[in-house]
Amino acid sequence: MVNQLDISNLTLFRGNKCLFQNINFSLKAGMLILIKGENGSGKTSLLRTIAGLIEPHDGLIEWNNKNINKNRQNYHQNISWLSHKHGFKGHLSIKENFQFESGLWVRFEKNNLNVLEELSLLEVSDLPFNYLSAGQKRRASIARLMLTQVPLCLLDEPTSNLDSTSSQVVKNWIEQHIRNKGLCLLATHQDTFFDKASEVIELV
Amino acid sequence: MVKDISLWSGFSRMLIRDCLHSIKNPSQLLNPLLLFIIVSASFPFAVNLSDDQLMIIGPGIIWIMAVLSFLLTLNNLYMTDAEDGCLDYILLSPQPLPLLVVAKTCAHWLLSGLPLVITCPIIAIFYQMQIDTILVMIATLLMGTFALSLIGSIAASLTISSNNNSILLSLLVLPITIPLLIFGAKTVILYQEGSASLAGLYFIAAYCMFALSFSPFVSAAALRIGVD
Repeated sequence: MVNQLDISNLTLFRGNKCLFQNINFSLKAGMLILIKGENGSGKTSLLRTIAGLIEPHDGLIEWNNKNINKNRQNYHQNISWLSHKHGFKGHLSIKENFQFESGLWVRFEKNNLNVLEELSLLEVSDLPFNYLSAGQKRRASIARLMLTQVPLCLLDEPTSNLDSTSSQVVKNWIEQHIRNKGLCLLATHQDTFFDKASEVIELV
Repeated sequence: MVKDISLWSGFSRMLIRDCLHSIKNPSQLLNPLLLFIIVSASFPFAVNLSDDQLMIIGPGIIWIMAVLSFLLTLNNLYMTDAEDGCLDYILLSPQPLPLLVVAKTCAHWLLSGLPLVITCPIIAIFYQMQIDTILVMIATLLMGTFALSLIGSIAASLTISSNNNSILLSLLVLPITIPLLIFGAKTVILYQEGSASLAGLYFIAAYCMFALSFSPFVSAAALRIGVD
């Protein structure tokens, strides 16, 4: 089955302010769509809405031609999420956090240590998450993303706080994911992924 | 290789994670417990009452202190998850949200309610309670604190979007806990007097079951709205 995410007339207000209006696109297997915009333009809110974390004021989000609100469990089995907040418990180590993740996500390979090694996290994977630097924390989030093997990736500024080596690992992984018929929706204010994108949505 | 995850796996991992996280960060656990022990145990020294009078006021004071110290812990039920971003991942999990809410509530009770129940016999000695009375006290607190966790889960999820939610949370929870407070303390007093006290226990058990039947669903719905 070829996966597809369809967004129709998506509109969101915050108070009286319209963050975005009538957003329409179709994300198909093997595609990367970029959401571009300055800080505060609503990129994160658009991603959160598409993930199902925010209820839009208007519009429809369909995963494989089914409304995500009526098919939430199936939809959430197929998405992975990377946001500004790391989503790790600070007093637990990366490995302990991953043990927990494996109970939440259907396709989570907690024992794949290659990813931790690739992101230079193996040595610190037993330390409490709070002890890690901002870059290491971000890399841990990336590691979780890479270990959650699902078709649709919703990524919010994936290369922020990363050094050039780690940024390259992320770029390579996204390219590989797209080649493997994955779907990628990426919000950024940088031009890093511009050449790989099938479509660019500009938020103002 | 893709393996399916069971409901039990989601429940147990969430329970273990919350327990492990709280054990590694014990100050959040110990502060309310110490408040409960210190205030409840020092009360008999501060007032000059006879043994009979202490036996009458004891259950009420232990219950009031249990409720108050328990309230202090409710703020952490979902707020830390919201702050570190874990709540987003919980909401995006394919596991049923009410199940994960029950797991979190059970973990909260194990770490906040059960220690109160365990320390209660020591406190009860200060109020000259007999062993059989202490057992009744334990039974009321055992069910009562679990009901408090379930009710507190609703209040904590409803107030997740407000930044400084402690006062709002207390205002929401306190009125709902008054029946528990009355029946919990009165059941022990009635037992001490030799009157029929079983009805009180039945009421607390029914209250607990009622809370268990709707709290996970209401909390889950409130979390989805609150995280918006």
